[in-house]
Amino acid sequence: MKRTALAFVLAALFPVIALAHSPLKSTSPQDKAELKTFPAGITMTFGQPARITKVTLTHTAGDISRADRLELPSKAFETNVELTPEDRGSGEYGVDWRALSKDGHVLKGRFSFKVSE
Amino acid sequence: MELSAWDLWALGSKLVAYIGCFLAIGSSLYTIATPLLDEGLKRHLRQIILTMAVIGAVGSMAQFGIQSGRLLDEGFAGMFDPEMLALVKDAPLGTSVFLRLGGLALLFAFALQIPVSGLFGALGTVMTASSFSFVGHGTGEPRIVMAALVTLHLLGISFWIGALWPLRQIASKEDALDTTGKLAHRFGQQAAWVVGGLIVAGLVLTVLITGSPAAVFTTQYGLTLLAKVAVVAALLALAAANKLRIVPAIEKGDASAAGHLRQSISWEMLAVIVILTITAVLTTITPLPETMEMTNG
Repeated sequence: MKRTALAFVLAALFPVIALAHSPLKSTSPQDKAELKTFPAGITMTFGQPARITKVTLTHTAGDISRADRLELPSKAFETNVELTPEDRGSGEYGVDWRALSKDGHVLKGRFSFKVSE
Repeated sequence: MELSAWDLWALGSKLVAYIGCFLAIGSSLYTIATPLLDEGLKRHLRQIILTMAVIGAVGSMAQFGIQSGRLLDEGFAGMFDPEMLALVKDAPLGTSVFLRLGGLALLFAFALQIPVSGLFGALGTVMTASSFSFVGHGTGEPRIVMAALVTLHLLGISFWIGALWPLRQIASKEDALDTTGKLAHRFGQQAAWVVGGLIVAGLVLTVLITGSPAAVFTTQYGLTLLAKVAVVAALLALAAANKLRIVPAIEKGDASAAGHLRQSISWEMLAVIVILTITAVLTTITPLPETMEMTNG
């Protein structure tokens, strides 16, 4: 009975765990974009207003990686969040973010882009 | 999206809050709606209400701190960050938890049998259930309809959950076949109304939340919901077998049928835990259809 019960629980939960993904509607630069120059700004657009709580920009060039917590432009619920991080030159950039949605959900995600100057 | 340790803590605390709150509500509703219960079972139910009200309150308060920690993602200290805590307090979860703690306190008072405890019980069940309509996917428009449907849905499922333990207890007593038959028969009548209400409320909520019946089959939220509905269907099949075969056999004096009822209720309890776990995932991790679209990723 215990084995059947465990199989029952796992089978019911499998599609739930396999399907979860990001709630961001769009970003600029786009995810996995390849740019010639560092962008003037980073923009995140949500489907519903969200209060951004943390954004970390990680720059990786060769073996060296550096993560900076970015200053938040607003403490209000917004659909567009615009950030102006410091240009660190060529390399790969990863943006990790967290936010609170209007209906109380914690939203989070990551997107990345590459700069080859 | 990968599940982080914070996500798992959030899921765990929500599940503890669900189990505590729904059992406290359900045991109160079952006590109020079933005068046939003997004093021993009533006393047992009162103990369950007291314990579950405390568990529900602890789970709800843990949700509060974990939400703050999750928003900051800077380890344990994030749970006590004043800015994040203030944000959570003013957010839907803050309102929901404060209302829920009030409702659970009333249910606690109901179980202690203080004067006018019946009124406290009725108010406490509605307050605790309605607190869940202040947070999550039920906060959409039309607001009042959504809140009423979520509250009714939770009162219905809580009643069902609350009846399982006392029915299993009475079915375990060898000398209580007659009482088992009466209580199980009565629950079959009560549940018929509850199931009807649950199905109608669930269907309307599904269409309002996902936006269209088709979205149930084409969105992540809808597919997760289908997994939940499949387990609910299994639960209903067990309940139908109880009502149509096992309970009539008990009423005819078949002692072995009480054992079958006990086993069937154990399976129903397992199905309830799976349903609550999927619901916790649906309301914690799974985004709504309109926020899911990744147009440039």
